[in-house]
Amino acid sequence: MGLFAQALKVVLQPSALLANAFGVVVGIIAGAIPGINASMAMAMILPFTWGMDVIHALLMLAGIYCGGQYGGAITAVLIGVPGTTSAAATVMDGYMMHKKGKSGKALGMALIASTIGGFVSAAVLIVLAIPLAKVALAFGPAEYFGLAALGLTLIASLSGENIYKGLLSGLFGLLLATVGIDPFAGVSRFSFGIPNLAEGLDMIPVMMGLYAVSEVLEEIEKRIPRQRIDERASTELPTAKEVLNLLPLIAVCSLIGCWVGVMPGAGASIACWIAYNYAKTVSKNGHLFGTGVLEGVAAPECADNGVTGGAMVPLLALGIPGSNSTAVMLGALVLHGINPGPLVFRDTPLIPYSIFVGLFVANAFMFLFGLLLVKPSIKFVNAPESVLYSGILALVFTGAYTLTNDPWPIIVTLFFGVIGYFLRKHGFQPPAIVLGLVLGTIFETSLRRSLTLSNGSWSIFMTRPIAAVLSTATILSLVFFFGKRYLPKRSRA
Amino acid sequence: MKRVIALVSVLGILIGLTLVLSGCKSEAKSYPSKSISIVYHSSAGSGGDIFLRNLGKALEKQLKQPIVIENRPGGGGATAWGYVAKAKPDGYTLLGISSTIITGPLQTPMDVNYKSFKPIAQVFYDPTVIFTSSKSEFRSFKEIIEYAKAHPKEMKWGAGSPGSAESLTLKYIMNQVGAEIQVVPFEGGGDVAVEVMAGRLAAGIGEYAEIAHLVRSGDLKILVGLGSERIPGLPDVPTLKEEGVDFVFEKVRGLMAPKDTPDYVVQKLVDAIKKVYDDAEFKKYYTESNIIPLFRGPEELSKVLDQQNEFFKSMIGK
Repeated sequence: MGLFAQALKVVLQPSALLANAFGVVVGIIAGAIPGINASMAMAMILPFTWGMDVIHALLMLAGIYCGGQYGGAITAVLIGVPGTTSAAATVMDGYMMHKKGKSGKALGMALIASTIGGFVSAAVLIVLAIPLAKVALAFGPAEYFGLAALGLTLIASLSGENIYKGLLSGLFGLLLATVGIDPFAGVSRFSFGIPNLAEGLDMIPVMMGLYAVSEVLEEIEKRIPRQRIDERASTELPTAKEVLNLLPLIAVCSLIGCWVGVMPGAGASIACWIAYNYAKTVSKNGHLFGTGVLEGVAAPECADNGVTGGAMVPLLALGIPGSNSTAVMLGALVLHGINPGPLVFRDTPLIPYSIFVGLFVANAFMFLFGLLLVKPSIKFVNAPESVLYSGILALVFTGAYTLTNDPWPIIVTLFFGVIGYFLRKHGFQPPAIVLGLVLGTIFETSLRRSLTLSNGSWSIFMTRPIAAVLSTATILSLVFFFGKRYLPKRSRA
Repeated sequence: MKRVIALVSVLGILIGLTLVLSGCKSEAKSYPSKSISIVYHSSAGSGGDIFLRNLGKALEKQLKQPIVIENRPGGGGATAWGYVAKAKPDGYTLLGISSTIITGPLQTPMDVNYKSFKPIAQVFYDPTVIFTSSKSEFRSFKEIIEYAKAHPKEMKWGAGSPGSAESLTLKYIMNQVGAEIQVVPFEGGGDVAVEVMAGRLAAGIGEYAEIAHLVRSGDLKILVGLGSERIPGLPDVPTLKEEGVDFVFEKVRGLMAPKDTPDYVVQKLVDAIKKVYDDAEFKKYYTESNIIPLFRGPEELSKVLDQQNEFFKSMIGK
């Protein structure tokens, strides 16, 4: 406890608070801009942290990391474009709520859920960081496969009315994930001789095309001038009762996020879907998910901030960064002569504990700044349709360009915008495509790795305990889904 | 509202004019007279990117001009390389390279390869090592190879993606010693380290920098290094040569420039690079990051790249 108090003292110094707060602001902005994510902002700030005290530097980076996870939700809710890949699930209900005029409720819920997710994961970290490091080692290819399979079952429930179209959408996403270099054979697949496809499709431009561009095209076609947003979008925040009702769900989803964060090979872009899937399965309103329900915003948002604390476990305790963001933090640690890994808790315990405490403070700042941003950001999209949609296109294409400083992602965005437009028109599901794409790579590599390790035996998915739990959950999730969908019909008939 | 738009457009025009005019300024004789960008093929935050950002900061002090790291990921490297190959050869656009500039174009057909650029210098090398869990029964490279030979195709080793430098060198080493193993590909050295620590893989190959802390903590042990000399700080780890395999691999980290960059520019950069090793902050960075300073001028770098190219070319078909 002495260490904890010491860390608290360090983190609460005015200069440390300032660094942390600055990081959070940068993170929220970076997260909200599609195409720029927390890890890019962190890498750009990194060289400026050279002269700083190591703890200040880490607090600033941790601030960006936390802020970025929430920032993605702002654009997800207000314009239907996930600002970061981890906000893809938030679009589902967040954007629908915005369309129904409940923008403030959606943004507020996203903020509250993100903050609680961050708090829960920081708390878990303080108590369990060292034992969790051992758990991180228990996640091998078979476990990743189980996680990916569990995530993919969500395709079924994202399908809407026509399950076949939903499954086809999911398969299309999986197929997109196979573009690029075969992770085992090392040969190029489905790249049609286009050098830009050699590395496969980047998630962000595909997502921006499918979500944003296709939507804008659809709106242009409708040509119905809607009211100004201030008449339809309210800045009213969720009530205390609404939040309290969702607390159990938020707590569970925060833990889901934290747990996925501990797995160095997974990450926030997967955690948000797992949490969404969980919420949809257990909620009484499960059938309303995707039409704009609060649970659908709360679940993915608390999970993606829950990841922040979890991701610190492999970083600090094993010195293995599970994502680009934690890789930058590793860079910062190394830069200051601190070697993360099992010895960090023995040699420089103040560092990990300051990060833990710093995560709490960062989440508090995130809540504060997020709250201040709710009204202005809703006002910002409160522009006439023509301005709003051209603004969205400008933002999306600029974001695409910043990804590689090259026109290729713009072409990808446009291409998937047109594809998305036609698919939407014919009742296919863009979110199922995105889900397939997000999970496709990990699904494939972990399956092939597991089978290599087991010499081709499929029993590996049932004989290893964690993998067995995940496999069972996958099967149960499907049983639940089909049960809910088909059983009542039969009883009525 | 209208007034705001007018104001913004006036501002925009002013900024545009300034940019145009500053571009027109005649090139000063002394290089560099403005900021230099170093382009890299992976995104901000990757290992190579962090290296360049630190190198850039140290070079800034020597060249007295800002150095900007520009990330142009995508296309397996082709995006960045194609961009620099076509850039104005004035020394203001440079390319940061790793061994991927050799292996990338060999794996996927591209319009560019390392020969499309003018070498400036190799600045460091990344030591590559073969490691196993400290709990492993194998105490030396010889022991593990003996086992692998006695049990063909039974052992599972981890390495990077199939066309990566690590995978290809591992394949070569196994061919040399006459052992057959199964290689499980992973995205990077960190992932391999987790699998090896957890005991799911018998051994792995990767950059020393990525696992150094796990060696220090006693979770992993290094069986052999692939460099020409023993790694500083690890006097007990033999090199592959000492273990009886006549093979050296040192991952290159350096800088190149567009083909027609004038010699005086290259010279100026070479002189500056020679001095960065003494920069106190930079020294701290590279010592802590476990990369080994190794300066090679343009001709030598070009020779090393040729050698590595020949080697990987011969391995990729196999």
